Parts: sequence; C-alpha cells; structure tokens
Amino acid sequence: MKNNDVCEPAEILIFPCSGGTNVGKIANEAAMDLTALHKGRMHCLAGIEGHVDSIIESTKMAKKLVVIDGCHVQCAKKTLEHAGFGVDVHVVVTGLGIKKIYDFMMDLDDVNRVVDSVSRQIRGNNPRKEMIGMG
Amino acid sequence: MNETRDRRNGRCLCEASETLIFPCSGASNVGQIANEIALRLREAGKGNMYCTAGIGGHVKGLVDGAKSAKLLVGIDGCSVGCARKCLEGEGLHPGVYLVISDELNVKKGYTRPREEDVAEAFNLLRSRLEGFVK
Repeated sequence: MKNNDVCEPAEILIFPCSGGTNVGKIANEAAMDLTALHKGRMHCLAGIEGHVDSIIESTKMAKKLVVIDGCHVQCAKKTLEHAGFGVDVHVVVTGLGIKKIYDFMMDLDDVNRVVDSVSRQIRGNNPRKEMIGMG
Repeated sequence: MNETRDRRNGRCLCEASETLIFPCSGASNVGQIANEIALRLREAGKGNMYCTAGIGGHVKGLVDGAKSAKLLVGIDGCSVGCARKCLEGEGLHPGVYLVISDELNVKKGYTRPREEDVAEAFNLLRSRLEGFVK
C-alpha cells in the first residue's frame, strides 16, 4: 500500500463492527477515538470481509488485534476468525451495559466507556501473534 | 417498552427490507463518509443500514436477510471495493453502488470526514437511489 495508508501494518489494529444500530455506531466511533488517542489504529474490517490481500497481509503483521463488536452476534470477531485470525482484545458494547436499540442515538459517555474498556484491556493484554487453526 | 418503541415499524434494523445499505465503514475519511451517508440515508427513509460485518462474518440470519432484500446498495470509500467484495463473497450484488474516492472529488486520507464531502456524497447517492427506484 502507499505511504501513510491506514492499510499499512501497525502494532495494534482495531476492528469495529460498525453495524447498523446504535451500538454498531458506538463501536465505530470508539475505534476512531482510540485511533486519535494513539491507542492503536482502526483498520478496514470490510477488507477482511472482502478477503483483500493487502489488508489480510497487514493484519497478519500486527502485534495485537482488537475487536469492538456492537452486540452479542459478534460479527466482527466472526469475520476475523473466519479469515483465520485470533483476537487479542474483544469488547462487546452491549456487554458494558449499553442497550442495543434500533436507532442511531449515541451518548458520548457510552463511547467513552468503550474507549476506556478497550484501553484498559490493551494495556493488560500480552501480545500474541498467531493465527488460529494454522499451527 | 422502550426497545419496542425504538424499532422502526416494529422491525429490527437487521431484518430484511426493500432496500439494504452496506457501507464499507473503513478507517479512512472516505470509509467514514460511506458510513455516515448510510446512516443518513436510513434517517431519510431511503433504506436500512445493514451490518456489512454480518455478511463478512457469514452470520446466517444476516446473510439470509440480505438475500431476501429487493435492492442492495453498496458504498465503498475507495477503489479497493471491500464492501462490494464482501457482498460478492456471498453471491450478492449491489444494484446501486458508489465509490466515494472515484466519483467525488475527495482524496483518501486519514482524517475525520468533512461535512461538505459527506453532504455531497449523500446527495449523489440519494439521487442515484431515487433514479433507480424510479
């Protein structure tokens, strides 16, 4: 990829589900905020979904993979696992007591709660660099 | 009760509907423009923003919902076309499709999207959608 491309490998890559409900929106927003705070770098989950080689390769080179799913369906985690990736930090927005509603109302306090939870878990998590099911 | 009230027409947003919108929601400004215009199209009543990740994650209920929709709208931020590739992986094809960086004068970068770019992209896709639906 080109210079300064977000598709370049980074130490910590963050994959939000960015799904079509309030909690998906919160996941997306938290990933953007975490990137701005230099806690890691948001990556293109759709690139994994679409089996885009360059994005798969940059993901393989990351030291930690962080997934933020909006709800218990855990689409983002399933996407990564389907591509053979294990997840180091996984936060489910509804698991933090934030209710899934079928609208896009978003409370910034909820976004901050997700950011805090992910930040704590990144700090407490040891890097791992193996792909599941591949030895 | 609140949850029921918050549902549109008594349906979950993930349920099948006439028009489903799949943004790539990627990490760049153009990916986030795709995400934002999907939200706005839904607010404008032009379709339901769907969980693209549910297709990539091969979640059966979501894949089945997408397959039963009348129209799929794909929005990719850049020419890599991740959302489109994701849909195609399940044999799905967007009837209406937009690549932000190709069709608007927006350079891909790693900043928050600009409101004027979001507005322009929204207007373009809304027009395209209205033209398609008739």
